[in-house]
Amino acid sequence: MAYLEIKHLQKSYENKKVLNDINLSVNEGELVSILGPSGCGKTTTLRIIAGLLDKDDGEILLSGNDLSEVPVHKRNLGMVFQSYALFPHLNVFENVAFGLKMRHLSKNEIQDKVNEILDITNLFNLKDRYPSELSGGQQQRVSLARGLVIKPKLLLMDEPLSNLDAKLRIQMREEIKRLQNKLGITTIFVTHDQEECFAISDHVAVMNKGRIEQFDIPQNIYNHPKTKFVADFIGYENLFEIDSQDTTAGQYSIAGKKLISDFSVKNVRYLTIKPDQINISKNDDDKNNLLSGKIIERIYLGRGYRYNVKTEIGIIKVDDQNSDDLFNLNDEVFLNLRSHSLLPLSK
Amino acid sequence: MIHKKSSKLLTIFSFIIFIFLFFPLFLIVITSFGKNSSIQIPPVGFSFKWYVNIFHQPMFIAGFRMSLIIALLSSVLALVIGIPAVYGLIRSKVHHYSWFQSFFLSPTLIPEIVIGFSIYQALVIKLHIPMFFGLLCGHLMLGLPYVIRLVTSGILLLDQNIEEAAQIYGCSKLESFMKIILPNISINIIGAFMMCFINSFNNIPISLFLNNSEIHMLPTAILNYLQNNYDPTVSAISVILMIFTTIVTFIIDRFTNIANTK
Repeated sequence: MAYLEIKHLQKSYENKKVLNDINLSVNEGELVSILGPSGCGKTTTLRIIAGLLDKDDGEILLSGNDLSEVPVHKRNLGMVFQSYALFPHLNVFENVAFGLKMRHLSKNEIQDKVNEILDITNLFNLKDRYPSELSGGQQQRVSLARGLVIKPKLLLMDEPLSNLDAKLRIQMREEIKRLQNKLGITTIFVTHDQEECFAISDHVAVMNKGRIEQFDIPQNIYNHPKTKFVADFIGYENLFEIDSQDTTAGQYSIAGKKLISDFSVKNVRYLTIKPDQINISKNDDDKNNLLSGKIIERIYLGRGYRYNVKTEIGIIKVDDQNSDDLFNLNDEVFLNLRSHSLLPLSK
Repeated sequence: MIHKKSSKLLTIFSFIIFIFLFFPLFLIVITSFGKNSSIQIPPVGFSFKWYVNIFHQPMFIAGFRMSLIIALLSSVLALVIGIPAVYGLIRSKVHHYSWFQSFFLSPTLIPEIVIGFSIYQALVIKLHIPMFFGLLCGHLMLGLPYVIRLVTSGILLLDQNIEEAAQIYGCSKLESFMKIILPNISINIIGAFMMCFINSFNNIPISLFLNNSEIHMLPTAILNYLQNNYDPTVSAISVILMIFTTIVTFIIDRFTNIANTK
C-alpha cells in the first residue's frame, strides 16, 4: 500500500458536487501535483487532507492510519499557502520556530533546527526581520522553511508560486524541488500552471470538475493525454471528431478525410495534435496526412508565428518556429499532421 | 506658484484652527492660578490655593476614584464581551451579519441621556440592582460599540489563512485565537480600550441619572460644585484632568508604537 491513500473522496457544497470519487496514491518521498483549472476541486482536496475541511465520504490513509478522526493540529502536516500566511507579529526566526515550539522542544533543539533550515533556505541573514519587511519571494521561502522544519509527514502546497513574478516563480520551483529531494518530504503540490507542475512533479493528477482525469508521470501526461480535457489543458489545441476508424491500420476518418496515427486504439472519439507538431509548407512533398488550406490569420508569438489555416476538416492552428520563411495571409499552404504526433482520445 | 500659495494658505488656516482649539484651554490654565475667588480674565495675582482646595473637597476625591474604577472596569468588560462577539460574528458566517453588527453598534444611535434614564428606570428602580452595577452597565454600553468597530476592522484586515496555518502547526482553535489573533489586533484592542476609558471618564449624561450620596462620578461632582461655587477650583481640576489624560494618552501611544514596530 502506498504511503498516502485517498479512496473514493466525496464532497458537496449546497447540493453541488465539488469532489466526485477522488482516488490518489502517493509513495513516500514523492512530489505529486494536482493540476487543474480554478474551481476544479484541487484546493478542496488539499484542504480536506489538511483537515481544514470535512469530507462527505471516502477515506484518507496516511501510512495506513485513517486521518478522519485526527484534528488538524494533531495531523503533523506542513502547509504552504498561496498568501504565505506568515504570522505578522513574529519575526522570521519565530515564524519558523512556531511549529517546534508547539511541539514543546527544548530551546537548544529549536535553535539548532531552525538555524539549520534557515541556512539551507538562504534565510539566515533575514532571521530578525518581520514578514512586512520581506519581499514576496522571501516570504514564501519563510513559509516553506516553516513547513520543512517540523519534518512533516506530508507537506501540502496550495498554489505557492502564483503570487510571484515569472522569473522568481522558476527560481522558487527549482528551490522547492531541491529541498523536497534533499529532505525527502512527501509533498502534494496544487497548481493551475502545467509547466510548473511538469518541472517539479514525480506524478501529476489532472483534475476537472471534481474528478481526476488522468494520473501519471509528467512525460506521459504531456505526450499521451488520455482525455479531451487533459489534451486541451496542456496545449493540444487542435481537436478533430472522428467519423469512423480502421483500428488495424491506425486509420481514422474525419469529415471524409483519412488520417493515419501511429497509435491504434479502439473506440476513440477524437484526434488531437499540438500546433507545433504540424509541418507547414508550400509544397506537397509528403504523401500521408497531408491537408491543403488557406492562411486566414497570422499572429506573432516571439519564438515564431501562429497561423490559423482553413482546411477541409476545419480551422487548424499551426505554430511555425522558422520565422525567416514567412507565410502571408491568404497563402495556399500544405499541412503535414505527423502521424507520430497525432493522438487518439477516447473521451 | 499655485502650490506655494496654497501651502501658505494652509499654514494660516491650520494656525487659526489651532488657536480655536487651544485658546480656551489656555484660558483655563491661567485662570486656575488666580488669587480671587471668582474666575477672572486676566487673573489677578498668582497662587496654588485652588489646587490645594481640590484635595479639601471629598466629593472630588471620591468622584475621581469612582470614575477611575468605573472607567477601568467598564473598558475591560467591553473588551472581554466585545472581542469574542466580533470574532464569533465574523468567523461563524451567520446570516444577516450586518444586522448583528448594527445591533451591537446601536447604543451609539440612542442618545446617552436616554440610556442613562432607561437604565435608571429598569435596573435601579424596577429590579433594585445596586447603583454601582447600573452605572457599570451604562458605561459598558457606552464602550461596547467602540470595541465592536475597532476590533472588527482589525480582524477583517488579517489574512484568514494565518489561523489555519497556526492550526496546521499544532494550535487548537482556542490556542490559535490566543497566540495569533490577539497579538495581531493588539493595536486595535489598545485603541478600543482608550476610547472606552476616555469616553467613560468624561461621560455626564449617563452618570447624571445613576448617582446617589455614596456613588457619584467626577464629572457630575464638578457639575454639582459649579452650581454652588464659581471659583477657580474648577479650573484647577480641569488642568489636572488635562494632565492626567495627556499622560494616559502618551503611555498608550508608546505602547501602540512598540506594537507597531513589530
